[in-house]
Amino acid sequence: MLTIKPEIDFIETDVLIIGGGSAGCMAAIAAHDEAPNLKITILEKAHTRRSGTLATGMDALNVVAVPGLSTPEDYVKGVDLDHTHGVIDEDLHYVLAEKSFAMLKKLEEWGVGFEKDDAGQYVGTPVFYGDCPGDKFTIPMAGLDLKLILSREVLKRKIKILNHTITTSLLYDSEAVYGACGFNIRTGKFIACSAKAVILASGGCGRFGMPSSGYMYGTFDFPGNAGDGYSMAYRAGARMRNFEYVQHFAETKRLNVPLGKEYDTDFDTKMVNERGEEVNVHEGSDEDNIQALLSGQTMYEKFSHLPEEAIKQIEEVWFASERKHPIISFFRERKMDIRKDPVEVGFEEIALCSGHGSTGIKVDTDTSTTVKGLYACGDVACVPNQYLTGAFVYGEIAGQSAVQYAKDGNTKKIDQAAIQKQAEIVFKPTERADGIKPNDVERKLRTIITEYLTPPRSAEKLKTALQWIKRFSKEDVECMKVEDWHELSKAVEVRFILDCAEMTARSSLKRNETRWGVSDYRSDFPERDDANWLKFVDLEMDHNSGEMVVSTSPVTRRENQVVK
Amino acid sequence: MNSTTSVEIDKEECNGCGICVEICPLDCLRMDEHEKAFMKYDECWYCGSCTLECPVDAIILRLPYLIR
Repeated sequence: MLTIKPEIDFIETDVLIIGGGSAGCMAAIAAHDEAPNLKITILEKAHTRRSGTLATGMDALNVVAVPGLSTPEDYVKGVDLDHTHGVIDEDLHYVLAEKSFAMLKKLEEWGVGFEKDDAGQYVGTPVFYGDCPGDKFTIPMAGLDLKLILSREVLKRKIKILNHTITTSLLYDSEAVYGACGFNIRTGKFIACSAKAVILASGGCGRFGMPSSGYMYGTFDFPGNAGDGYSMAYRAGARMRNFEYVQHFAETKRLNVPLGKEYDTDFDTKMVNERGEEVNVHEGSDEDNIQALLSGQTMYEKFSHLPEEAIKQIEEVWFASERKHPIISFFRERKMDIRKDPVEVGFEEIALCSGHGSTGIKVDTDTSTTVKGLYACGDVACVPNQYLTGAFVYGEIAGQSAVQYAKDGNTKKIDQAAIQKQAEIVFKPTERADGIKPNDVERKLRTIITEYLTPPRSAEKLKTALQWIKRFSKEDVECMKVEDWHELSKAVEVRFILDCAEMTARSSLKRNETRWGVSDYRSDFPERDDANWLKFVDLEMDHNSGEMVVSTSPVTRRENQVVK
Repeated sequence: MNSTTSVEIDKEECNGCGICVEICPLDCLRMDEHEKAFMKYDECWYCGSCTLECPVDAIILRLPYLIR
C-alpha cells in the first residue's frame, strides 16, 4: 500500500499542451515560434522522444495536396463521398488540404525525406478506397525518424517538458479552462498547472473494444491513449462529436496491424472464406463489408498464387514499414510463410480516433473548442480522417491560436485546497487495503464494449451497454486498488474509457440509421436515411445535473453555407 | 511464471544505461536490483522503440500474446 499524502507541485505557464505526440510537439513548436517569450509547457504521459502513435515513425503523409498534382477542392469532395458520407464540416477538410503542402515543406526542412520520381516530382498515391477524381493525396515518406526529428525541434526551443506525467483532469470554471492536474507515474508527485490557454493533443481511445487475442494492448491504435482527452474535455463542458462512429477495420487476426491489401492496394492478393470462396472486403463497398461482418465467416488473405517476385516485394514493404517490429515477429513466432500459408483476417477490435476514424472534440478551423481557453488538435479533435497531416497542420494552428488567446489573458489563481481534494480522490486507490485491480476492471469493461457497442448494434444492445456502464461507474470504479504509481495511472484511464463508452452508447442510440457501414451498423435501422440524418450527433455535459445531453447539429458546406 | 515476455533483455549484454526504461511509450520497463532492464508490466504494443534505442542491441522483441 502506498499511504502517502499527495505532495503537490504548483506551476504556472502561458500555454499548456497535454500530450507530446505528433500534434502536441507541433503545437509546442508553433506556439514558441509565434511568441518566443511566452512560457510553453508539455505534459507527456511517456517521453516525447518516443511517445504517441508515432514512436517509430510513419511511412507516408496521407493527405497532401501537392500543387499541380491534386487540389484541396478535390480532397473535400473525396472526404465527403468516401469517408464522411455527407455528414461533414467542409471548412475543416479544406483548411487541412490547403495547408498540407507547406507542412510537407516544413518537415522536409527539418530533415524528413519524401519520395520523388526521376523528374523530381512527388509521387502521389490514392488515399481514398473508392474512386475519387484527383486522388493522389498520399505522399510516401522515409519517415522512420520522424518522432526523433520532431522531439529534437522541441528541444531546440525553450519549451518545458514534463515527461512521465499523466493528466488527470482539466481545471475549469463557468467561464473557461485555465489549467490541468496530473501526476508523475514514476514518483507519484501531483502537479497542478495554471495556464492562460490549454491545448489538448492527447490522442484517441486505442483501448476501447477488446482485440480477438484477448490481450488488452494488442490493439491497432496506440494503446497508451485511453480516451484521456475525450473524457477530460467532456467533463470541462466541451461539445463532443461523432462518437457513434467507431473505427472497425478488417485486420490481420492476433496481429495489431493490417497487412496485404489494407497496406497497399496494388497487391493482387485474394480474400477467401473457409470454403475457399472469394470474399469482397478490403476493396468492397460498405455493403460488402457489412455482408462480411454479418456472415460471421472466417476470412483469409491469400498470397500463394502470386509469383515469388511479388511476394518478395510485399515482404519488403512490410518489413521496412513503421510497424515492422510486430510484423517481423508475427511471421517468425508463428512460423508462417505467405508463400503457402493464408493469413487470417477479421474485424478485430473497435477504437475511437479522429485520424483514421471520425470521433472527437468539436473544433473550428482555428482549433478552438466550445469552451473558452481550450484548443484541440490531432486524434482527439473531430477532423474526420485527418491522418498524420491533420495532427501536424492543426497542431500548428492550435499553437498559434492558443498564443493569440494567451497574449491577452491572465493566469487564474489556483484554489489550493480544491486541488488537494482532487489529488486525494485520484490517489484513493493507493489507500484501499482491498479492491479490484484496474486491469481487471478494464478487461471487464472492454468485454462489454465489444459485446454491446461493436456493430452490429441495436437500441436494445445499446441500452444494455448503458446499464452496465452505470454499474461500472458506481461499483467497480469506486473500489479499485493499486500497488504503484504506474498502476494508479491505469485506474485513471479506466475512468476515461468508461466515459468514452457512455458517449458511444448515447450517440449511437440517437442516430437511428446506418451511415458509415461497419462503423455504425444498426441492425434495427440498417438503411442510410438522408432525409432525417444528414447531421451530426453531439454530446455535452449538463453541469447542473451531471447528465450527458445528446443533440444534433447541421452539416456545413464551405463558406458557412448551411445545408438543411 | 516463465512464459515468454514480449520484451526480452539479454542480461549479459545490458549495460544498465536505462534509456529503454526512459522512453518506452507504454512505461512497461524498469531496472532490476542489478541495474539491468526488465519488463515489469505486460502492456507492450510491440512498437520497437526499445530495440531501436538500445545502444548494445540487448533487446529482442517478440509477439507472444501471452501473459507473464
